Amino acid sequence: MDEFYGGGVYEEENFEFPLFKLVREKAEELDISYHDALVLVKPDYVRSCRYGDEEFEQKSIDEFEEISKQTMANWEAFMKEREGK
Amino acid sequence: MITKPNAQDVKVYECDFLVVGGGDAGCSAAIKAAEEGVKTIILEKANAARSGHSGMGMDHVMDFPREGVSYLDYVKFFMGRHELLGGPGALMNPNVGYILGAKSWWALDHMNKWGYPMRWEDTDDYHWVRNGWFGKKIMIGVHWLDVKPVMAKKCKEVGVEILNRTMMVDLLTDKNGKVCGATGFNVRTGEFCIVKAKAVMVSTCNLTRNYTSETPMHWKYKMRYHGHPGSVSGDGFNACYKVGAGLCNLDLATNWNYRIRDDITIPFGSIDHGDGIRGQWMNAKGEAIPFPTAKMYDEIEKAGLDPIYCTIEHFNDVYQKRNEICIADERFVSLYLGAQRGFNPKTHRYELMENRRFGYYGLSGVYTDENFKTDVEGLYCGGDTVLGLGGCGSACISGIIVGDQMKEYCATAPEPEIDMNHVQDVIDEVYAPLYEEDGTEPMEMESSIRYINDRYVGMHISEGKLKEGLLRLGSLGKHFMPHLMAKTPHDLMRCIEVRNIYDGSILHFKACMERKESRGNFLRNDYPERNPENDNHISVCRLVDGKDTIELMRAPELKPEYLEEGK
Ligand SMILES: Cc1cc2nc3c(=O)[nH]c(=O)nc-3n(C[C@H](O)[C@H](O)[C@H](O)COP(=O)(O)OP(=O)(O)OC[C@H]3O[C@@H](n4cnc5c(N)ncnc54)[C@H](O)[C@@H]3O)c2cc1C
Repeated sequence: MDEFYGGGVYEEENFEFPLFKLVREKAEELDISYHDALVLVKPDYVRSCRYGDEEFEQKSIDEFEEISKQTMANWEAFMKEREGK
Repeated sequence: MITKPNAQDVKVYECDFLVVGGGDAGCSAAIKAAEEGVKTIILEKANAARSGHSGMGMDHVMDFPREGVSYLDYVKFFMGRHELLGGPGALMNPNVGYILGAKSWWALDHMNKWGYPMRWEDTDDYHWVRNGWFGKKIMIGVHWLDVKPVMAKKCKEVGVEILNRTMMVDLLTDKNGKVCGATGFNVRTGEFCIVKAKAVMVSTCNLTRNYTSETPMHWKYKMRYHGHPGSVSGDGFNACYKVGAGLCNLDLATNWNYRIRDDITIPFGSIDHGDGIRGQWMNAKGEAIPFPTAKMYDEIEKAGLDPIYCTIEHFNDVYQKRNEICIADERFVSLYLGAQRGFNPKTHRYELMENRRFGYYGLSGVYTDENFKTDVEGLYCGGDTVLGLGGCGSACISGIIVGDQMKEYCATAPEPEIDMNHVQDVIDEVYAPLYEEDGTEPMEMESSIRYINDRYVGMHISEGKLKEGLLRLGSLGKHFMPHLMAKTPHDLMRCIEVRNIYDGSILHFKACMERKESRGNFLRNDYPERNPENDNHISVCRLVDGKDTIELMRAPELKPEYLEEGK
């Protein structure tokens, strides 16, 4: 039972979204709200996300499409098995 | 201490164009009309600078057909979204879908001019986001934080009078049945008012509070809906219905499958479109599954493989960052809660909410033509109040289209004539709970109504359950509804809302009873098959001679000129 108690599998000690860490630090530094800090830190973060890099996006999408195809195949097999029952 | 006023003594506002609900659609309509010199008032239950769905979050506006997507493709897409939930076949007016695509670029010019925050950081360009359906970049990334403040400020700049904290109680009609204004109630001061207008647009969004919200809730948060603001008590649906407009597809309420992890709900947005990459769904064993429809969800449950989870473990580092930006825009608070709960989406899973209905999104709404005019003279609708609409893009575009017609319409529309006896009746009803000593609290009533919807419609519908549910609703209506009690203006607002939630629930049950088939996510255990004769039919509830009527109406065809132009 102990493995469930307290929901440990879902918790990571000291986890913080990297973007939120920046927000929190900026808010503390300037003594402003998280909301105002987000406005200040977001632009740089956005710039680091390779928006507009079509080649990179396409490659990421292609990789994902492969996973999707496999998923659909698994699902069809699952449904076949269910129908057989 | 508030007391009941006399109709003759209440404040009367006069305008040409009244907008009810200052969300995306309402603000857009009001700005456009006022720019054309039309005297415009907004009645807003909360505060237009932060109210409504867009006040909670958003990260993209849809859709601007480009990259080879024609307007006809767009109509198909628009209708296809609903087919998944209630299809196959058309469930809305396709001409509305067409016009949203065809006028999108024109509307975008307006939104730009008004400062809708769509420019991607310090570049002068849009950030085009891939729409998962087409795999084409036709949506525009939005930085949400400023959307509502910008819109509310623009309203003021162009001379729109915003009556914040003033909820519409009901619409007013003249002796010919034309809508000529609304009654309003200040939810802070308790003051009552009349707004006279030559035309009214209702854009209060949809009804959702008849179902329990999507997240497991702490008892304190009875109003917490992550995918909707608390304002969604169906006030506009009910008001339009009462003056004779058609309220459609109320049987086909959605199940929306939010991802939940305690408080960290993530609604749809780019995490779903993911700039082309979606979350990966899995069963309880961790085996990959496609995004489940209600029927698929059922199969998984029957196989003992629920709950269902969503993960973004497969996102590379850049996409993990993009997801964070999406969360910051969609639900900034979730970034904070993530830290508090130690929830790392890179390594942990979101659970999917259970397979059940909650509220109406997109699929249901008031029937309009493609000018967003209802069947009732003087009454227009905008945004998610309209049958088929869902999303901030369609909300803004529909609003701008309505606002654009107001100068011409109001030039020839008759002067509003108000029936003061009717106003007095409304006042009597609104203030009655003040005089109830030992009655029912509105929230108690609302919780009971939600329970009845959850239990007796739910995901798996049957005649017996519907009948039992209607009986229970009837009993609430007879014994408890007349004894709602309130001490403050806020409580009085809740009483009006609960009346609307109640009326909407009754129609929901009746509409479900009429639909003797299963289709899309509408699953009847006693009628498991789809009736193909009902394809391309919209269910319409309408008040006729004081009686609720429900009919299946054939969805109109796309007009020949649109078929030609839209290729
Ligand atoms: C967290 C979240 C994220 C979202 N993200 C996206 C996204 O990225 N892209 C997208 O396209 N869509 C998104 N949506 C959906 C989108 O925001 C809505 O579809 C759209 O904003 C609806 O606009 P509306 O004007 O119809 O309604 P709303 O914006 O809800 O406006 C209705 C207004 O009416 C007021 N009102 C209600 N009742 C009354 C009354 N009786 N009297 C007076 N006023 C009243 C309300 O207070 C509110 O201000 C998101 C929604 C949420 C909740």
